[in-house]
Amino acid sequence: MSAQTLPRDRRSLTWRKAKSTLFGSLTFSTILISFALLVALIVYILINARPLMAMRAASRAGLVVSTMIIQWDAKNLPYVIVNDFVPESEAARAGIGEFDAIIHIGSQTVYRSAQVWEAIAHLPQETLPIGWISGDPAKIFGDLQMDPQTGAIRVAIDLPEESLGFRAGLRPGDILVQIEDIPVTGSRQAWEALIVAAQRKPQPGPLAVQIERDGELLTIALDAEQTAQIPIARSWARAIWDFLTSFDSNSPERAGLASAIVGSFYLVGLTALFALPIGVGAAIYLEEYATKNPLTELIQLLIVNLAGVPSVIYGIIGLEILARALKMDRVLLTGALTMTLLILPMVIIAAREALRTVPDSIRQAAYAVGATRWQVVRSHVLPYALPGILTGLIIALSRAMGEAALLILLGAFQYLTFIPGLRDYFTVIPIQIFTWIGEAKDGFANIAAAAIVVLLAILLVLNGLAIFLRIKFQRRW
Amino acid sequence: MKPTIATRPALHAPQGRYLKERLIQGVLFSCAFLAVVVTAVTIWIFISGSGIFFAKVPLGEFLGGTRWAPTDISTPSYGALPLIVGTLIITGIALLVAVPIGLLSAIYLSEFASERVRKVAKPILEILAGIPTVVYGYFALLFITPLLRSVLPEIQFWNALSAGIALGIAIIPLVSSLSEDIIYAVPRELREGAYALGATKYETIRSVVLPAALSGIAAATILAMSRAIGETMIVAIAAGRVPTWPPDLLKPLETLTVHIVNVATGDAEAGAFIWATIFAIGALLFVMTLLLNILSYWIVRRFREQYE
Repeated sequence: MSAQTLPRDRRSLTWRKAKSTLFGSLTFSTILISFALLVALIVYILINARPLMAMRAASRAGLVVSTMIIQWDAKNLPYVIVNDFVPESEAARAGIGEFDAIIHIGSQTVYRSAQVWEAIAHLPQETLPIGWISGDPAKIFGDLQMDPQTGAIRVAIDLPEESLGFRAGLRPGDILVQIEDIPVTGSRQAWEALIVAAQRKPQPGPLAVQIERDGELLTIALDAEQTAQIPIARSWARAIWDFLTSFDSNSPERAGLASAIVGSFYLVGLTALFALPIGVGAAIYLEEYATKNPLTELIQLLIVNLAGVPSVIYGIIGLEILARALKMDRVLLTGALTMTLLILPMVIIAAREALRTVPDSIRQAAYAVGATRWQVVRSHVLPYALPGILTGLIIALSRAMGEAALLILLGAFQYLTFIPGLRDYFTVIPIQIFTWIGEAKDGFANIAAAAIVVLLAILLVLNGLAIFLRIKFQRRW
Repeated sequence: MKPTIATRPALHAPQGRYLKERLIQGVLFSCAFLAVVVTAVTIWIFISGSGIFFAKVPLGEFLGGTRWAPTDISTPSYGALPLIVGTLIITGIALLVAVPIGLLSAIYLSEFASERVRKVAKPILEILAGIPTVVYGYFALLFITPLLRSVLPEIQFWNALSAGIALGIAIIPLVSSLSEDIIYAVPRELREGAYALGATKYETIRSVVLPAALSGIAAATILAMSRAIGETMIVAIAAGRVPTWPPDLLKPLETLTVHIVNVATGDAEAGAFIWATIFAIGALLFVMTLLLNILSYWIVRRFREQYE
């Protein structure tokens, strides 16, 4: 350092001082950037988690929806269908069933399932005014048959009298020409034309259907879209409870975290059970027993290095040794044992720090009254070091709580619809989040955000506990 | 500081008590010895697992080949260069984000902040380190990428840039807290010497404090690099899980860690040759991170001795 020389700045002192102030503000702004990023992250997650309430309310009312695509003139036209029939639900009572297409909510046309949830979230009253078209074309047109020569779409002889088409004036043998301005070219396409034509209307209402009867063109008004008021019970408490207690599902509004939460707590609990005695044992050995020799040096060096090994590497070790060589399979117990390996270095390092803070006078006093080394450690050193050790353990466990990479290798990447036990395949919250992020369907990004909120809340509680322990039991010697 | 007077009280104790003491010491020793066992097992697994891999694929092809297609049934190819370069690109972007922000934050906390601000700001910064990496992956994919798209319209849904940036945010606290410790540890006398010569605060920091802390900052950067190389989830979520060559910041890419995840989440049966690839890739990863960790450990130790 002695060879260092200060650069000579011939400019005025004011300029040089201003430069200091400027630099200080620059460094301060980087802190602000970090805080802004943290706030942005949390706010963004919360915003994304918000539709959860509407999604859960919709699913409870029987409106488990999904966005579908009509391919038309090389364009993709989205529409919303009910993709699950929920018996005994409000929707079922209103006559809405599987595959029915939801066209309007109030006077708004909906194209994507996210719009349904948005409408529910902003509902001024407690009922949802809904307009839908039956997913079964036979209920509207009866059977449609294509004339093999002309390609005309003809209504079959057995058109039921209760069908919407019959009530609108459609008769067996009529040829469907066009719906509004969309020419009818196929029997499935006739239904899709209804959806597209209805979506163009600002409100549910009759559609003009042009038909050919005995060579004459007629226009009839077809009330294809049915309407109903569906009571929606909106409640955050119910939504959160449902989310926490239901299993994974292919529909985002029904998917929940139950298996993942149980899996996470099971896993972290077991990990604590394994890591605490081994970690504390190793720390006691290194701090209280070990003499300075090459083996001790080696152990210390290895512990520091193991703390820096990426978690996927531990995943490979657990997979190869525990799951395959020892034939334990990729189950919860294997996951917990491998996780123990991952957090052990952290626990040992923290426990050593805690043991080091206990002053030697305590040990000497105990030795002076004839205690053996183990008695000194057990009855005098450990009780004082315990809060520090537990704090370190909790921080290591919160790392385990958020860890996903290691468990992906150990079979936690599963679609579970049961509560996992010790010898079962399992899943944990971070992996459930990973799986949901990978789903393309509308709504999975929202429940992934909701799961992130749950995970962050658990971590907050864990870290709060660690801080509480530190403050409550902290001792200055 | 071990007790020096009463080191062997057990000698005067009854025989049973002595035995019990030895037994307990043995148990405690085996807990500590686990570190040796785990390391040895790890090394053995990687050597034996890679053995199967390198019996079929020459080392030159593995380290120099530019086509990584282990799942291609007709013409499998095991050139790991796209994965290695992909890892380095993501790590590079992360360091470009984390080192300036982390280092300047550390300078602020150690040189400019009052004790009260320091006490509040430091733990808040640490929160960033405590957030699980899947959360950063989510943030990268659904927030950073759309944000980048407003500037770079050709950016793809999965891309290296947003994953790298999110990873950088995640390791800011690692850089800042390590370098802050080291900048804080620069002896007061050095600063006062500079002030006595008429240097301003900025000149003192630039010409005295930072050069004095340089080795520690280097150690922090190396540790951050090792963390970034081993990071898995952010990249697996946001960078697309597809090896590309030549690599492109705006396109998907695959890293060493992500390949391991791909095999684990894929449907290959145990015993299929693709499982051997994770040992070769894992060994590479293990060696890279181990060397970086040892290097940083060594630098920090040397630095500590410098002022003690």
